[in-house]
Amino acid sequence: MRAPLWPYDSREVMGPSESFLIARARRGDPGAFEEIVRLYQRRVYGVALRIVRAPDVADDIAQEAFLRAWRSLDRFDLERPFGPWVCQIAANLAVNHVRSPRAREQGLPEAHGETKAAEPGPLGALLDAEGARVLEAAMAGLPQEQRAVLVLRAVEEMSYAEIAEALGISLGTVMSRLYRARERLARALGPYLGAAAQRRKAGAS
Amino acid sequence: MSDHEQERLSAYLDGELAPAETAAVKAHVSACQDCAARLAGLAAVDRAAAALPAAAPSGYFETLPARVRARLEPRAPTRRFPVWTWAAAAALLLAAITPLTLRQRPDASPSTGEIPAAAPATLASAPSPGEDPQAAPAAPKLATRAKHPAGAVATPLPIAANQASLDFSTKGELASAPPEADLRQSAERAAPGEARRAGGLASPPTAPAREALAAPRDEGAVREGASEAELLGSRARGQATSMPDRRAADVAADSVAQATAEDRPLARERAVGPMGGTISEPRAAGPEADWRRLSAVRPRTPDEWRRLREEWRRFAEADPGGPHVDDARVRTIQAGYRAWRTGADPADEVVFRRDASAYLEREDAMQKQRVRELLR
Repeated sequence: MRAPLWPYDSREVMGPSESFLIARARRGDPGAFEEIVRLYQRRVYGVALRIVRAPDVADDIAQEAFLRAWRSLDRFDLERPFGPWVCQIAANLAVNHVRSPRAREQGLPEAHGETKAAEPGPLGALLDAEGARVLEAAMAGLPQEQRAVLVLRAVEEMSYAEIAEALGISLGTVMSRLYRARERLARALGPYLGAAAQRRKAGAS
Repeated sequence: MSDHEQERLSAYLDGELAPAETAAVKAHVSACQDCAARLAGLAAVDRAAAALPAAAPSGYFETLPARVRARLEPRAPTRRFPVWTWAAAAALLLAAITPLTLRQRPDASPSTGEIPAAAPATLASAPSPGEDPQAAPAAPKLATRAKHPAGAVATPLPIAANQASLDFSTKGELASAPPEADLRQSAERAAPGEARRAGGLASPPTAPAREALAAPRDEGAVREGASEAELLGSRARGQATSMPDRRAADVAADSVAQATAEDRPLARERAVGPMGGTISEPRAAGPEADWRRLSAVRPRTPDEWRRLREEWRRFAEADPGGPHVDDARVRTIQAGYRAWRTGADPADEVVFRRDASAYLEREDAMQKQRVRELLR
């Protein structure tokens, strides 16, 4: 039994008490920060897992991202939303982790294939089980830098500027990596996406 | 089609092209079926990638917050304390040192004699941190001492903290703790504070700094049980009502109504003010009762939201110096937002936008970010 990450709970979108909790955490209140972790953990862990693709590594990264956020709270602009900021930290850690030799030794972990077929999620509307497996494999096959950009854009819906800031790359690099990742996935998924679209059409008429 | 052009297609999808380029790509896509299909393909990739489940081990999210908390180092108290904190620290240092210097120079001028009068009192009333029951009266003692000018100079911070907690207990409105527990909290807060002041002669400037940290921490501890339940409750509600196409602002406005209890301690801190210098009598039950009543209202229809909006407006106008005025203003705006969203009446939108921009122009507005989210 695995806890689904999607849909995010609504409070993660814009917690009303977010700025209140952050203000308290800034004054050194660990309880307030624990609440912040509770609000954003799914997003942060999700970003990390989607990039590094190993639950234990994603756990390390999620914890480290929150710890760094805690240390840097003074520098955090209270007018900004907290979620994208901590996700940026996590993405940066994830990419740098994946680049490290240890991560390469570990290779790619087992995919979460066993949970997908059973889960009628939003993916079910787009792809059949076979298509989902192909997508999973294609994601796994992307260079990690491309995967990170795609995750931040498609899942976190960050702007190019935010992605560039998170990963320490230029806007042009964001644009080209994103395009390459999409292009590659589109090629792999082409037949399946078409099939799903046709099924929808058939179902509608 | 060149790579460069395809890249532009991808950036067009994200709205990241310059206006001129956007127009060019738009024109091309509307004329070229190939590119239109390509664009649709890229968009589908994003949707599929976002929908790909990423699962955590069972129970993972129940333990992560506590595991992170266990690893938090204390935050270095630099830069977070405004100038007055250091002024207070300096005053405390002066109060602590002066008796020592006086002992060495018995012929000191009488003009400095007033300040040490406070210092021995502070030291004398310092109970050891262990004796809770005896320590209980310490908080009231501090409060009365605040009226003494010299005492006020020497100990502005602890008074602010304790005044805040006394305020809770007299009103008896701290949902998560019975009044006795609350009083004990304030006593415990007072005791180590006093002890620190007594023993803190070596490094007095940090004592008030720690004091400033201590109060919010303790409150947080008291609140934790309740706020966790609230968070869980509202999370469940949020999930039940969250639709894929709902705007974040809608969700926010919903959950804001549930955030009352979390906001209260902040409101109180505001009421006391950073210096805690003005000691107000416990407020009459009127505004507090209204506050609780309005906070509990859960409107369903646009009309009910309108009524709530006007009630909050009256509340804020009736008690402009009160502890909840900032929240009341925000709630006015939020109720107005809900009235507009549920009833789709343009008149409500006008009121909502007018209220929101008036709030954003206020210098004392504490929740601008929240209001801006609603405007988005």
